[in-house]
Amino acid sequence: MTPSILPAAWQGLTLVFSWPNILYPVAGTLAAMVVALMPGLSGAALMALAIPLTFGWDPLHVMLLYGAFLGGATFMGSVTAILLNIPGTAPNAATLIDGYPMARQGLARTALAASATASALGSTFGVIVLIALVPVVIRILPTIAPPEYLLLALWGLLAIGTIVRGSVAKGLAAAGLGLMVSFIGLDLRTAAPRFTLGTLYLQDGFDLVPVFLGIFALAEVLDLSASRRATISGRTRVDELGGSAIDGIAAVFRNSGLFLKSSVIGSVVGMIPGLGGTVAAFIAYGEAARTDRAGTLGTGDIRGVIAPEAANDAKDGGSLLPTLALGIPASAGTAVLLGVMALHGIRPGRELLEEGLPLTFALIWALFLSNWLTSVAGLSVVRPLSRLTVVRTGRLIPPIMILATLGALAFRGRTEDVWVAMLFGVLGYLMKKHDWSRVAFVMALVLGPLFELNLQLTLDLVRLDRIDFWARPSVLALLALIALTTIPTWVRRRPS
Amino acid sequence: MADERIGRRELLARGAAILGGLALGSRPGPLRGYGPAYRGRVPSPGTGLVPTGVPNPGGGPVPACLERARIRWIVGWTPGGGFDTYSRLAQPFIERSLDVRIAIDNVPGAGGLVGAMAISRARPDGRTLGILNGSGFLWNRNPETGASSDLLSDFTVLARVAARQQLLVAGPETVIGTVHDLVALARRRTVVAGITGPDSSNFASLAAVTDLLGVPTEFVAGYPGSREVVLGLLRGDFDITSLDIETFGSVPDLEGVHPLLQITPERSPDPRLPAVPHLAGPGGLIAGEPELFGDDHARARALAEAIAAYLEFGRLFAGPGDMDPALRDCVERGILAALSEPGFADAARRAGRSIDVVPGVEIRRTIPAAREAVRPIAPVVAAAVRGIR
Repeated sequence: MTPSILPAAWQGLTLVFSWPNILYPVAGTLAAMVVALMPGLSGAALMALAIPLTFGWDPLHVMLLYGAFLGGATFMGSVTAILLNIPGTAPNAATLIDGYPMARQGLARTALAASATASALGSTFGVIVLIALVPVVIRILPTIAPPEYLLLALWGLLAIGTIVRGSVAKGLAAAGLGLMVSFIGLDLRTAAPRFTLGTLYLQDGFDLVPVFLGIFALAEVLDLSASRRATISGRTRVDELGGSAIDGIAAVFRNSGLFLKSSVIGSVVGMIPGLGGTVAAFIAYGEAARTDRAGTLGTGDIRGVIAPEAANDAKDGGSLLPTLALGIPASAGTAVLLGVMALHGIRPGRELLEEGLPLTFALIWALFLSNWLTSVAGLSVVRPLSRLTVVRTGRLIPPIMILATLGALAFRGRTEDVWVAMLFGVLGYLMKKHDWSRVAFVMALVLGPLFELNLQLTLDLVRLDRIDFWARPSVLALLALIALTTIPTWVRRRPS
Repeated sequence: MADERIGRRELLARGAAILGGLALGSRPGPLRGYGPAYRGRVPSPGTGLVPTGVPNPGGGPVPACLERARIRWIVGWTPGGGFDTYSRLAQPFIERSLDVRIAIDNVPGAGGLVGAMAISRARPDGRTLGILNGSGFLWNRNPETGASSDLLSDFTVLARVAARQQLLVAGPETVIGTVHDLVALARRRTVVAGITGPDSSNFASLAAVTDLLGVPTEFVAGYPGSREVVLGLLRGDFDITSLDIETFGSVPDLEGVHPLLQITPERSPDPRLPAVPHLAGPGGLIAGEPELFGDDHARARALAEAIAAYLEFGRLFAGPGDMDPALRDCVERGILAALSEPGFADAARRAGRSIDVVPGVEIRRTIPAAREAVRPIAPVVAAAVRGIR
């Protein structure tokens, strides 16, 4: 670590908390929170919309605002995920797997508080990792190549086997279906169309946002309509709800091992360009499922909320590394950040991480502040928010339907996305009704393209003698990690 | 408080200076020194583009045609990329010159085609405009339908904001330092090139240039973006690739990457490329060292001109086809006035974006010739795609 890191970190901190600079991250956080509550609208969209505002601004203020945008959206997206089964952003789809069942059990307050706490602490972990590991990671990052991506994707895919509950055949079939859906679109390597039905829309394949809105939110609308459930939680009065914010906060500390493991996963995945929060959240969820001896994950287990939320927020710090050090965006949000930095004459690279370090830290602290502000704000409204779970379903169904539909439309402004959401809504309902694992389906959908593309690239590089797959220490380390985490679980779960 | 302010000012001065912070004008960025906002270009035999006067170059009132209208500006890519950046850079200047409000609408999909279709299908009332990848529309065909949109009939081209300027580069792990080294290496073994995908303009130019040089090439395709291609090059995944000069300028710490050839019809004034030859046009490698390109000089020249013409069309501002001529001329004048403002040039320079504005009327006039000029690329690219598949 260069000796100037701590003074620069302090200098960055004082810049953020001086007047009127503090207004920028606070305003940015508020805007990001509002946007994140609207399904389909991503933080990246907000960042793009704000670009014209920043023309003529001081570069410091731009960094403060955009740091807050990056951090503000993550937790709030989990609010609608937990309460209404609507993922506010794509990574929150992993949170709703256990978060929404908790809401149905009347434990929304616990789930929301655990999510806010894991989110705030996860982001803190990510920032610490970012500060501590900058010099090391900058050297390692460029060496991460398609074989390593391939094995990370494989690790995630293998976790599906441990997530599936009930019929293994149905679970694997659901995962296979997810993989098949992920292959739709132009072949990433040859640009040959696959199952695109002659449409432009399908050339890019199905985007995750409308699929998630359909398979979770709209499927839930159908399920609520078909069931005779009076309210989401089955209770009609707030005082009948169980759990509390304190329970949620305590659960994070009680599961500190899981929290740390998920934060490490989030930080590492965040650092690797092209993976992003959705992959981080699902890999962390998969890892939580792997160590779930009781087999309660997926049925409203608090650990299923803590793991993805910690990973999703820890990834924010890590994702700044490739962005600031190498100019390579790790997510849609950091891609916009790079564009904005360029517009303001701020160039990523070694100099930004040495002489320009205080400016870099101003960005990091703004992100950190934003994560905490969002979580504290979230914790303060846990109780009123949980009232949604005692509202009669007849009143709740139309707003959920509208939110999910508008979310699909607002995502890219394409009406086809609404139809896709509805199609997957029906599929999700049928899967739920017939006990096909929707989690296995979406995990395969998320990880399928990453696996396929990097398998192709790795095969090409091996064929052309550009890499020696078995001589790469990182490959061997990842294979060992996969073996150590997967084989014991399979042995443990093998029917006697 | 006073100390704090001084500290902050010093900090920003240092940060901005180090980061190529042109806001303080302390040090030129990598692409500084590019031509003025409105630069007459060297005529290209392939396209027939010629320097021309601006109808309303940054001065005089622009005739009113869309006063206070709300314009939907369609960008067929996600926020943060090159096309998006050009649009957002130009937005305030166009708003001022045409007295309109612009809402930028990112409509990504199918490599920009979805956005292009949205522009093409809009009512030609001037209230829907956007940015296109002009090169792509010269000959690229949709892999789905085999159809290609027509720049002349489906769109009204209003201006070119920038040409594509690309570089052939070799990685630090190779022995390739010049084009001659590349040709020599190709005599010993197959050269490996890395690209994003066979539907990218970088692939087209790379396939054509390696064909021109007689360099047998295997393509590793599928890198998610141009920056990932750079990382692959630095790791030694492959020997060569083709990069936009802007990408070359925006990726930090590229020690060891060797720029071999400017795939342009004229030499870029980029200070990092003083000894890097350019391909076509006066003083280019084709003219200076024809023996490097085999015996069929006529074919080599035609292919080089085709590449130049292909990249010339670059990034276009356009509206739907069939715009009323009076409205079209008015909007075109407004856009040109905006792009001619020194403030726009400054903003583009700060963002590391080159600009090379050509009026729409010139682009429209030269489209038929350009279509003919780019023909030789198609079979070369098709053969390279077959190689990948």
